[in-house]
Amino acid sequence: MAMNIIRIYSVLVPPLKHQPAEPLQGAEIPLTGELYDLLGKVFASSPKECDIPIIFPSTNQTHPVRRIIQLLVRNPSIEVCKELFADLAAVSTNVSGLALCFAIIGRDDRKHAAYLARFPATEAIRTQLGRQFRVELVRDIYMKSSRTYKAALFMDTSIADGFWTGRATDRQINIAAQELAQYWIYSFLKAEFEISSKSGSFMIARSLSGLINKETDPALKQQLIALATILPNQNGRSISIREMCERTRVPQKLQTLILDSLENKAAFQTQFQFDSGEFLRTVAFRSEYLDNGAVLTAPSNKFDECFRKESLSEPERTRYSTEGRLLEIKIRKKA
Amino acid sequence: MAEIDFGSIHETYIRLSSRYFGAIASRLKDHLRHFIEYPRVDKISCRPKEHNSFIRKARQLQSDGQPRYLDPLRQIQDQIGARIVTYFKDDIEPVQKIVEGVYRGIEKKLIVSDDEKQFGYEGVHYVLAIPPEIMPEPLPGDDLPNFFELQIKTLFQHAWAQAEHDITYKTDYPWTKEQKRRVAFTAAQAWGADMIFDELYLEQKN
Repeated sequence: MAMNIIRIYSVLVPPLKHQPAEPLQGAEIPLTGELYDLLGKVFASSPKECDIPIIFPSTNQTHPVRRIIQLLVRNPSIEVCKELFADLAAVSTNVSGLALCFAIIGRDDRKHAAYLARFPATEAIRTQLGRQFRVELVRDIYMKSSRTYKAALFMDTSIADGFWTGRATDRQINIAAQELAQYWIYSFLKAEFEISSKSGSFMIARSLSGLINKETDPALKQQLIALATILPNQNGRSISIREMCERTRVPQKLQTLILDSLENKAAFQTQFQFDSGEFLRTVAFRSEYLDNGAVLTAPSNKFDECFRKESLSEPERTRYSTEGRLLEIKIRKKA
Repeated sequence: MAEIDFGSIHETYIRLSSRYFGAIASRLKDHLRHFIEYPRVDKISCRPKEHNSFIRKARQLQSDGQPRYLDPLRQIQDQIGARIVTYFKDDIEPVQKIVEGVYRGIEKKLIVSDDEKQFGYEGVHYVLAIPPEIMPEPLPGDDLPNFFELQIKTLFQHAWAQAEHDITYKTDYPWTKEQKRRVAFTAAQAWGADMIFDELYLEQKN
């Protein structure tokens, strides 16, 4: 069921990080006209557009930004909206620049929603808007920058007990996910990725190690091992499994295998900060089994350094070679 | 104020619990076991809240007679409960550090008596987000809990809490003052045993 829009507010947000606070200019947008139609479309597509799950962390069941969002949903007003965006102004630098922000409050028969969006604006706009915040000008600014925005959507059945989680996005061109996380998610919303770095890295590690162990197709198995070997290079990046697959050009068939191995399919698209240490704790060793009974094992991220492989003229035959100082011999019982 | 329909809440809880909570608890236990790689952990357990226990909690009243929970299915955050039991008090803090590095939380409480002359329940309690990647995908209209409660306790804290809960919490038996003092005495003994074992452990370690 489509969400009905109850209120729309717009606020001009100057960069005030190193400057004294100042009153923000803003107004309620009428629920008719071209701007309303345009924003209605943005709001309708927001559940799909906002694809990064976030959460408000706390140690005592309170969170300052969540509190303002709850207030805005419960009793929408331009004052509350300005209070919310004053926090954005306070973390915005000249690099972030001036912005035109919107808050859209909506609901359907089950859920309440708050959608926050930030569109870049130019200093000339501030002069144009002057002291009077005219909706026609807001429309013009919006039209100029409607393709580049940051947004967050919060939806819940309960205002009082919900609104702990939401979803964010960044449609700004050439911007790294890490920058979105810093400015929009961490600094403004004071939120975190819902999937923690360790938990997300364990998720992909468990998926790959499970698939590597059970895959019987040698080509697929080789591709999985290759992926496990290069993934540690993504350490520290805010990335989803889908993005990992795309960056490392994982074939579609393998992407489907990985997706199917996840307990929650939506997690495939969910960004988290990749932690190679945690990943390697699970995908720690890679073993290659030869038809002559040999098993070659090495840390998965160093396997190719440990073993030199030569393809032989006879089909599907490979020669492995390695050298090192013998430290220990282990004998394991046959399974 | 609209009357709370406990019958419908109970039915919903049973449906959600039987359909999803067992899977969530089992996955969560595996998740915790992977991360809590710590030598002196005796046990990691995870379970959905039992139906009757949930409805008993849902019906709780405040001191003014008003219902404690107006929306129990959203407000009760221990529908999934997990517990980590350590050998010694000294082990609790390192385990907490691991937990805080992995899970997103909205509450952290050290539960201990405010009165220095009283002994009773002790433990560290967290309300943590269930990692979204282990959540089953719900059918339309089924709202799953976002959070679980995690308790971290020592063996003695756990043993005392289990026994005390069994004999005092679940019954309507009219406990006398003297009987309550005996229960408090056992808490003091558990506290003392914890303290001495912790001292011995640290003496031996250092």
